[in-house]
Amino acid sequence: MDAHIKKVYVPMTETGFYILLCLKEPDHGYGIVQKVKELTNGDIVLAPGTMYGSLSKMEKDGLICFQRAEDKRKIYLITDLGKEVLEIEMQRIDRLYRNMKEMR
Amino acid sequence: MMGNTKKVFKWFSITQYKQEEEYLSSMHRNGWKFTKVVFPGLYFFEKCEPENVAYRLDYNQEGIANKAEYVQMFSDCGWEYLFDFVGYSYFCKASDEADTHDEIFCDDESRLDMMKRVYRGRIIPLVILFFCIILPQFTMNVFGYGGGSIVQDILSVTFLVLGILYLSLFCIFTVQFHQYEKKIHPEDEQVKWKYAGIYFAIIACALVFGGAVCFKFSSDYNISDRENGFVIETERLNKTVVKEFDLKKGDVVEVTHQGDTGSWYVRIGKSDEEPIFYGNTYDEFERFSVEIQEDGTYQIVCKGRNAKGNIEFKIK
Repeated sequence: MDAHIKKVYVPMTETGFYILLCLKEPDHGYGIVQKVKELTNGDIVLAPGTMYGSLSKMEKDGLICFQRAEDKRKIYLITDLGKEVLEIEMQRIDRLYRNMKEMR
Repeated sequence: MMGNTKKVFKWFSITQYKQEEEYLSSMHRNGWKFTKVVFPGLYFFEKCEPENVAYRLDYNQEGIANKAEYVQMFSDCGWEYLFDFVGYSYFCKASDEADTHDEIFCDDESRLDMMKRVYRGRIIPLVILFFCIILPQFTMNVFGYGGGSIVQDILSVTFLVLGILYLSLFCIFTVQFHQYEKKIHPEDEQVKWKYAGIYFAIIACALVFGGAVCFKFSSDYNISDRENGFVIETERLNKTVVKEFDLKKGDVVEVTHQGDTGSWYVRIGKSDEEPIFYGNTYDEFERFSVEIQEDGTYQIVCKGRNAKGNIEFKIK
């Protein structure tokens, strides 16, 4: 993993994290928005400007790849590099969570 | 129908999209629906029911290039796409006071990304224009190239105004950018150095402008009194030199001028009367003489504008 990816995505934003998490299954931007809304009981509603910008940035950086278009909606899937980044992020959050539990 | 449409001229700079959004929302709250905008900043409105509508601007050239899916993403999220104007895409959404989802960016990171896109798309071309045209043109105008003509002065002032405008715009944008980036990466040394560098560059440019202006209006000259007259030798004259002489009928004032650049004004006459001679030049007066018709105290007024050369007044 090169320095650029590390600098931009470790640690990553909540938006970035949820995008990678959701794209383990192929999905389009709005699909991700709905899924995240469901996962967080409506607390997190990802905004379209953020979604569009993040998806195209992640596609350019090779974290996700374009699969096909469906009704003017681009469907993406996570790549191996994306999985690697997600794994690092999950471990970081795991540690965060463990430490929080211990210190509470 | 009369009174159902409204045209307003408003100018928002590249960095003032927040103010523009608020302006459009407040118009809609007062019953004026935004219909279109044309260059350079004429906003068209149509009468409507007063409503709370959020207007938002995005700057995404990739989105404009792939319009269908870009617009689809926004309309899925409840935003109506209006149109594009100079790189900005306009969206709106009906909202009530309690609606917290009336932003098109939900985190600072992506808002900063949008500002970076504005920066790349709009500010960098301006920076290039500034360094390749405005700064060199301005300094060239000030430091020579036949300086002193009216055209040159107008050009200098135009470039000065443009330069100040540009520098202020860079300043405002850098401050905005800095605030966001500081919020996201509060302890990043690289960010601190980057902005220190940018501020330094802006200050350096301002100093170049200021220095050039001071130089342009400064004078570097030497007056030496001779027997029956005086000589002004100048590197640069932007002042008025006045000398008084008691002259008699039949005296002759002989003026010899060797000019290089700039313009000269010469006036000879009694202090509160019509001058007996008045003339100006952009290059050379050559040599000429004025004969005195009446006894009295005369003033020789010599004024330079960016003038370089020697001028001699001799009384015979």
